[in-house]
Amino acid sequence: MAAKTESRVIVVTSGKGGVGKTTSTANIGAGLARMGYKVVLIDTDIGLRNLDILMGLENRIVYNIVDVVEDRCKLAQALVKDKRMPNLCLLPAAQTRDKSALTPEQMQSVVTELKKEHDFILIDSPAGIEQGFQNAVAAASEAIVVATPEMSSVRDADRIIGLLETKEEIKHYKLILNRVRPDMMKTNDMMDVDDVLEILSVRLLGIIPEDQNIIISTNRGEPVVLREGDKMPKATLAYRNIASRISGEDIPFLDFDTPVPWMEKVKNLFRFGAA
Amino acid sequence: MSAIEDREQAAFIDLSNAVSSADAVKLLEEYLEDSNLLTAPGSLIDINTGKLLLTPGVLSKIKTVSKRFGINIETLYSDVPQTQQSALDEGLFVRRFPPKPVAFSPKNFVAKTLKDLDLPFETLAEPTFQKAEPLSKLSVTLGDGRLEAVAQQPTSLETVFYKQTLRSGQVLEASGNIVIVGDAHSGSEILADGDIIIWGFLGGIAHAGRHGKVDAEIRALRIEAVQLRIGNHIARRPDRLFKNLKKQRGPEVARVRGGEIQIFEDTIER
Repeated sequence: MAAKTESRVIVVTSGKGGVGKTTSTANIGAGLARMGYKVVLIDTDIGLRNLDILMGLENRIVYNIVDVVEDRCKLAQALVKDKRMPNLCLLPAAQTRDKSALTPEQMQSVVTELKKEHDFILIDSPAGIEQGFQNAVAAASEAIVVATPEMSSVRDADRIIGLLETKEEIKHYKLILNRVRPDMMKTNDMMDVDDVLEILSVRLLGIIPEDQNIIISTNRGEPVVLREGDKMPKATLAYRNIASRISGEDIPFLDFDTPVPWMEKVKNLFRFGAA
Repeated sequence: MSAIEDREQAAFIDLSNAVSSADAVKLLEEYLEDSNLLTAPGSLIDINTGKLLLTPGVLSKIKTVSKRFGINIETLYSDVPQTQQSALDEGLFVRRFPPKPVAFSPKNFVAKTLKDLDLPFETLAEPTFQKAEPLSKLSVTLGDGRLEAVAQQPTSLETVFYKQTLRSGQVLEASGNIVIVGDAHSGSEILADGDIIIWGFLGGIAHAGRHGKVDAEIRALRIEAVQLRIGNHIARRPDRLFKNLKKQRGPEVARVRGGEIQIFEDTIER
């Protein structure tokens, strides 16, 4: 890779809980690392940490970010190296503390230190708009907003975008629409992609289809983006594309159209005949 | 060892959530590499392949992988008739319904010291907490008032009882021994200067003898801790645990032996 350019600090946030912030952080991070970048993931969800489980690194944590800011260890000692890729590591949150154990200023100094060594710093934000969120965005210059095509999630995303716009340091933000079900969009049972983009007036970074492989991967501690082979899950491809887009490549959005079921085809045939 | 005992020892490996047959082989390899449960050559395993459709080629690959680790497959569980037939052709003993899981058994936890984790824990073992009072002076004074001997003798550490479940995020810390009547869930931490005894399941982090008492012990009815620390030694859980379905083990104890933490079945004789 060419000489190290300015490292990018990206916060992944959503407002609402359970929409896929941590899953997206793990997969985008692993996706960028897979492309050869030096990546560090920071879990700022102090007291309710999960990123370590998704990465399968839970049993390797000795120190965490709170130990670093309270001077119990050096930053390098708290970084947990990924077991698959040497250019990927995790700065875990403390499980036995709460959000007040960290301040935005401390977060900034940790990130400044990490910038020296890494191309990408991905910050996994906790749900909510309180101190945890403030810590997470404090050091970021870009944001990824994760939402699902549901009213509650979209409203919370709107609130978060409003807050991000008040932060001078955040240069730009984009949306990941998660858990999309093309079949339901087709039958108008789910808001479609354009609806959400219009409501939020935001640019799209990627669309992730609902995929049970995500659950399998989460439980195994292996980001789905790292699946290889001929029958790659759609979510794998979707996250790889997002990583490529972040790195500057121009990749078209995936078409998740499911093949028309056989019965439907037969029905359509009859309809045609009758007309 | 009789055949019946052998069967009781068979560990159970669940490959049913593999996404493809190649993935099933990969999973099996990872299981066998990650855990050192089956170090004894000739150990037996049971494999559950669930709804996977496996060709004779894949099954023979599964056999080859097991052989490489010196392991024999005792029973293959499968829901798919084709897989069952292929397994029979490969000379495997085939059954349909896998037994329900009853217990994990990390007999030989991955007992490693810090060098495997690439973390300078040992150099950082400096206590950041209050040091417990480990020693008391025993003075013997003779008739003429002259101090004859000063001997040092450890006082027995105080013991804290905690009769409740320790949940994720909770920390129990004592400058003595800790006894928990209940489970210690994953995400919890137990920090003691002395021993830790859990009348229940240990799933979180336990640090016994945290100020350097390397002869401290950690006991639990079942040890499945994310990490074990004794003195300045540390051991982490293997990435995959074997589910032993057939044998419920007795209480387990972790000690430092030969410079690393090891887990033993806790027997009466010492």
